[in-house]
Amino acid sequence: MIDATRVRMMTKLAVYESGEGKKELKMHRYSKRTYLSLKQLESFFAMTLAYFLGAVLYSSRYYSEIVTKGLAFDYRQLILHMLCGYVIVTLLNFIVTDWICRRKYDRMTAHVEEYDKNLYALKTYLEREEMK
Amino acid sequence: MAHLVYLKENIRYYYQKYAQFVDPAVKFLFSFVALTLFQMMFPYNNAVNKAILFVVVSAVQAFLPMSFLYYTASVLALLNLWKTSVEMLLMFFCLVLIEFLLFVRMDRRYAFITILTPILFFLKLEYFLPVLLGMTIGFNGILPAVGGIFIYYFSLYTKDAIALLTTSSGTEMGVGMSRIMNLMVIDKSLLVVLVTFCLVIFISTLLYQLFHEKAWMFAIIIGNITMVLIMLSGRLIFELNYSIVRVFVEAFLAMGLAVLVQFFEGIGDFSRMEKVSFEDDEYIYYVKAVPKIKVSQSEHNVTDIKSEEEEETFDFSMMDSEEKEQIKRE
Repeated sequence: MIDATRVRMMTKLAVYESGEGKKELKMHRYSKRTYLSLKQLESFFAMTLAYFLGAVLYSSRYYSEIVTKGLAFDYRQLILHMLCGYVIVTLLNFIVTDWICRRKYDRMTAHVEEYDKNLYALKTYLEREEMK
Repeated sequence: MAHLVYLKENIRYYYQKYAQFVDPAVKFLFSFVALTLFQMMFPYNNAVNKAILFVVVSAVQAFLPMSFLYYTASVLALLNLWKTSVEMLLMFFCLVLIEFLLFVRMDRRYAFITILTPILFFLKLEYFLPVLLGMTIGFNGILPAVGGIFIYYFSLYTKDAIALLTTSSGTEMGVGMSRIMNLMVIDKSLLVVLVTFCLVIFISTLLYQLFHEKAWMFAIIIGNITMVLIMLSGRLIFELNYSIVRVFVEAFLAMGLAVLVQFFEGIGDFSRMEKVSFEDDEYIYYVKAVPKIKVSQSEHNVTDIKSEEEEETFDFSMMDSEEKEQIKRE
């Protein structure tokens, strides 16, 4: 005979595992510090590549000047502006990534705690049923 | 007001019941319209400008996440730009890659916003977007909206660059690219739109997240007023020529739309059933979990409770003689 209480409890767990839990349970393997470091590293590389592409696109504005002047073009000023922009964008990226990932991790912790509680409740229920 | 609540719950009920049919149908329609509009924004390759192609791609898209449309639309635009010049193709590819690296890879919703934004700009309905993004997505909606704005303005500048390439003969490589970048930097209307969208999304999000019962109302009203003021100021300061009447009309309509969105908030989030499967030692379970409906009109019971004082001072003069006799008997 099907135990309705057990099905209810298992359904709740399965809904989490097949939904949000897919990503969150993987996240839970890392400590907060490790997770934030990994995300900062990932974000740093992605942002650096994106900035480099953006800088190439921006430099295309001076394409005809570069072609006509060659080495006489003021590369120093252009590179200096881009480096300053890179430092500012890197700092902003660090702050924003840290804020977003911290919130994500805290939300994940709350959900996983709830999931663990439900899992423990199911385990207790099953043990009680076996003893009967 | 109760009727509106029942209407909302009925809509939620029917959406929940037919979600497996409604979702693919909506995705199909939206994808078809989006791809058609993208083709109109980048109309340079007749080989891909075929309705049957869009129908087939939209049919596939109907069963994929909505964010996949970002990649489909980007490929469509690239196929069109390939016919114009290599430098335009490379520029657009860099733009798409930058957007992917910065925000699209993080959340599927950002891809959807990045596609929706240029579509609304093309349809001249862009002023509906900022406050809605502030209410639904929050601060994270700023970057995708900016990405979408750049895609739209890129489509406008491409037309200008192509005209330059076709009219002037013997143009060297890089002229089109240079022209587009120069336009992006000097175009004041792009600057005004970017500032407007960023500020309005920021302000709407801040207000919407206030701990107040009517925070949503403040966000809608102040967000739209801010948008109108910034667009007005931009028009005056930079002597631009976009229609301010359209800004007013759309801001007014946007307020109504935002109220509707607020009312139907969450109607799609948790109204879908969950289908899960799991097993134990005895059985394999295939479970369909259906969320409960909160209010049902047929179950709505109204009980009027009057105090003794109210009964004594009850006005019998408005009643019929039959009703008076009935009350006396009771």
